[in-house]
Amino acid sequence: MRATRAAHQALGLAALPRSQQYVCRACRAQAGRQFHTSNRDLAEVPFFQRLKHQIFGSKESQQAEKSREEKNKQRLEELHKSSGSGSGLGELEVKTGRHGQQYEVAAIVDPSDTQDYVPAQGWDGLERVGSEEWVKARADQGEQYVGFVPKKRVELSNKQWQMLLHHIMVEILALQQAGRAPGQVCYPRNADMYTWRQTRKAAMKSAMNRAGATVSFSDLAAEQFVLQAIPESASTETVQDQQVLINEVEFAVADADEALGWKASSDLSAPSWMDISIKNPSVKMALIKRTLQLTGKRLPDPAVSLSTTLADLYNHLQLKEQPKKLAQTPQMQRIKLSAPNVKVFTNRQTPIHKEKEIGRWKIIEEELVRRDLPVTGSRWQGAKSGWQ
Amino acid sequence: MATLRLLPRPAQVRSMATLSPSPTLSQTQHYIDANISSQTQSSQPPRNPFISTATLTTHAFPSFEPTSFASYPSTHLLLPLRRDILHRAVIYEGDSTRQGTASTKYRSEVHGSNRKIRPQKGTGSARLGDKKSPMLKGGGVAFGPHPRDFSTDLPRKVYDLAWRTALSYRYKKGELILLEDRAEIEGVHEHSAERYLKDLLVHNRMGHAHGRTLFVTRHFRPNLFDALEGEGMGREARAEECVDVDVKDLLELGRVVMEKSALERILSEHQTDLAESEKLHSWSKQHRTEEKRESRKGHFTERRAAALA
Repeated sequence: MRATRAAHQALGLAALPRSQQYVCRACRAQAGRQFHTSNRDLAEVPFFQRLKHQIFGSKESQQAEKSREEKNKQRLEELHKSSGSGSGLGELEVKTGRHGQQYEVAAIVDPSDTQDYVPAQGWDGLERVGSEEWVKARADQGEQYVGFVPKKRVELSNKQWQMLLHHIMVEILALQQAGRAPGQVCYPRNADMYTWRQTRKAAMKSAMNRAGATVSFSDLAAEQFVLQAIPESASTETVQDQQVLINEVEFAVADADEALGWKASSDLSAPSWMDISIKNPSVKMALIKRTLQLTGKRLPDPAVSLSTTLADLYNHLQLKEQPKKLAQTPQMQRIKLSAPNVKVFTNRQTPIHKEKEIGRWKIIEEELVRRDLPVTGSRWQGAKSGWQ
Repeated sequence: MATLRLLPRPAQVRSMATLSPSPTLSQTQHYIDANISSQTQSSQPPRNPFISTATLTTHAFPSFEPTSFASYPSTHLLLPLRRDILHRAVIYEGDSTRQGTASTKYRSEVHGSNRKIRPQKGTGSARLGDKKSPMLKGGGVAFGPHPRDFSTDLPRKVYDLAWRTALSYRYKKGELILLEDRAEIEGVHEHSAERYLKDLLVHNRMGHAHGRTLFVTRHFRPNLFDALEGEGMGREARAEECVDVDVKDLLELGRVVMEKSALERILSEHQTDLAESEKLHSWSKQHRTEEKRESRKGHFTERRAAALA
């Protein structure tokens, strides 16, 4: 009675607006005493008895454990009956979760039943359950990302680039000549419709008029085959087969070293047949899109913007020889022009170079030889053996 | 424009002064037709021959499949690299972003009495005033920081030039990727979005290993922004709306993936240093007119060639 009255007073004090600024220590303590953070029902059971129940188990917990064991035994018996003979570890039951993902219900294993069951001594090799990654992985619906660019970037030599560009350009020009959109060259194709044999023998010719370049095949059947191989439409459901694209590149650039002499050029300059205009936006788009689809090579926009012919595009794609020495890099070459008082050397400059420059070296060398002294280095056994 | 026509002259008044022979009506009309009419017809200034075109490839999202080309004038995306202007803009943004809330107490603000601690003379120690002196423990800070506004001013035109210079730099390096439509992840559950976006970045070489990516969108894209809020996603990519992006953000990460509408909004907002005829909307109008003219010329030439053949 007294406790409830005090509690009521304390709550009232807290709820009402503060009329006084100061609350004495005794009142604060009294208010604090009235609030309970633990279950008041448990106060009936003494503390040590509660501890005993937790450690050794109470009647209720023992009964619950017995019922659980009985249920497990029933499940095992049912499992034995359904599977017949055997350990009972047959096909696991598949259930559908809340978000539609499927999972297997864990098997119930009776240790007395399975002879080869060995309890684990540590956690190596066991499935880890309950981490943040595990939770995320379970919640993940599994949607896979499909990109336009192939997963693996294809590295080609200069000759291979020339052959590939020839193959792509022939197909695009064939489509253009047939009155079809050049963009169709990127549509998914069948695995058995590779056109490299036909395109390799085709010849392209740049035209002076606005009609653009033309392509001529070895025969009409070849042209028909190329046009048939490229589908006229592509549904959104059709998925591009990556293996088909890889094979197409491999076939198109095969035998690049023994490439047709009049087509492939060995030096860095583009061959003459590459002087085909690609000013037509649809042709340019089809070309860079197909190159990206087959090789994963994305050209920077300024390079695409400035390229007006196939040769310009090739110059951006080809591998340029990297300078072997720092002095040969374009940055160092620029210093030579912009600062004429600066000298750029390819080798480390030693005192001997300085002497040679002023013309004293020959005298020094002659004198050293005359006195039977080493010209470079030292004969002393402990000396460093030169730059070997 | 109505052509200038002379009205018939009134009857000539005789006077004593000697007059030079007056030009006839037809001569005067001929003069007007030759000189004045042509000028009034083309009142627009001639096209600036130094403005070229920067072409970008637009891509679909999320496949990054090239879809078409988009052109912009060189005054917007082919500006020379001006590091000094970029530096000024970045410093200006940093200054305006500063919170400026560092605070210390002067000796006058420290709580305490102003009483002189010990007499001026006679103690043998140094003379001291109150205990709030900065030389004493517990005293004030002599010239410590106080909350203040650190923002500086930068001429609007210089700032706009910096914006376009940053975009030009990114374009020239090939690190500006344009998206045709919205940058939004659709058809993917919210629990898979983070992993899906990570796969997207790894597949297209845009993640942490390749310098990170900044997505700039026209409006808030809930799925994309939520996917990038996950733990560890900040080291892969960032997403900002175009109104929240700074010059510093454009220069910070490895590449910028921008929606076309966002780029046009940014370019339109930051062109105060350009003349009216050089602005994006004027240039686009002119560019479209010229393109139509070129395509008509091309058709005419082809028809003529076909007819001659």
